[in-house]
Amino acid sequence: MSGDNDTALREFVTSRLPRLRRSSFLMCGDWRMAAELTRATLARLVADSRRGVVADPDVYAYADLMEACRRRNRRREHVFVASPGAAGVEAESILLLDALHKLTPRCRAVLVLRHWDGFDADATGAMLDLEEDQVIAYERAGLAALEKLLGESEAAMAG
Amino acid sequence: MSGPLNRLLEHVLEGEPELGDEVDAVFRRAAKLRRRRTQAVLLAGAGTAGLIVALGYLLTATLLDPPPATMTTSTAVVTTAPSPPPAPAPTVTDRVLEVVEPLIEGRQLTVVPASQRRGDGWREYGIADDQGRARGTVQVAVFDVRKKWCFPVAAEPDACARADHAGDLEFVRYDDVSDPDRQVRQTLARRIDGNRVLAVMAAGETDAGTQRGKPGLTGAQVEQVATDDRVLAAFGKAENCDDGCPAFATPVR
Repeated sequence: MSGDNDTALREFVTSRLPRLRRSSFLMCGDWRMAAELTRATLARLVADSRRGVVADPDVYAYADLMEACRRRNRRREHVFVASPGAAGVEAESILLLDALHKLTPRCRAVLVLRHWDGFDADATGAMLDLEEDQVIAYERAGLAALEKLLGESEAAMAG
Repeated sequence: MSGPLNRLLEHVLEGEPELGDEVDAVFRRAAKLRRRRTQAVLLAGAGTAGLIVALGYLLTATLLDPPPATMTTSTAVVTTAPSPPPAPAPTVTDRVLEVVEPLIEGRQLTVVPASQRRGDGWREYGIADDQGRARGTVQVAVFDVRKKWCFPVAAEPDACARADHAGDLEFVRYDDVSDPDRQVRQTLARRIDGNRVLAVMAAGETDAGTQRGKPGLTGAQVEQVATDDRVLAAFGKAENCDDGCPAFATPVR
């Protein structure tokens, strides 16, 4: 993607923005923050693409977004913040978000990229600066922890 | 769990807000980011340029400094740090000398720079001829006197001399060249009703014979110096010939 091609850039942003925002929400649990982080990431992508320094826009965008979420999550206080005016979500969704946020940021990022965005282990590794083996290890550990956490939550709710 | 996790996550996203003008917001933000980066680059460039100029100046100043002087001896090499150029001697304008010197030079004589002495309320200048031979001194002093002070008469300590006038000054000449080995020309002057007296004395070289013993200034020139407003003004208001004051042939007090 050339930095001069504004049309291609706009198409890319239009197509990727919703998905990036959802990934961001899964990472931070706050729609407002997710929108802000996604906007900032895509703005950097546009600016850097125009300078011709972006080799793979998808890798750039997701890598930047995951890093931004990781930094922002240090100050996170709530599991879930709904968008203004939106109806609440089901209790199961809150439990899932809660379980996700009990994982380490890198583990959570691997699960989001692999199971929500559908990237393979190689691309996920490129986005998170990890070896493929590490991605697989994080994924395995993350799924196991998530399953355990969800099981505990469901048991607690049933009890 | 990949399939189920994917489906579970879809439920989590059910409350997703509308996109609105997010795409335009991204491009607006990108434009803003670009402007900020341009400003940062310009500022960094200006800072770098300033740094280069400063370093260049320092480097140039260092390189242009004179190299240390090196002296080689048979036993050792002694290197001395470059010494700063000698500071010019403070230029003290001697406004008394400005009046005296032209008159001296008009008589083919010179004021010997090394002979100049000064103190509180007095100045003294050694005079030499064109062959460098001493031709006596010129002494100028200022004295604070009482209101009732009068011009002395050498022969009668209690008498007062009748003064001549020149403008707002009154003066008396006391020339004594009767002794060829001690020829003196002196004038005392003061402002009418003033309480400061200016004494100017040109004394010839003593014991040098009639010709060489002549004072460096004529009686008229001594009077001219004594009645020149610039001379009295050349002394500070607090000056009073006291400590180290030259002995005048006709004392003021």
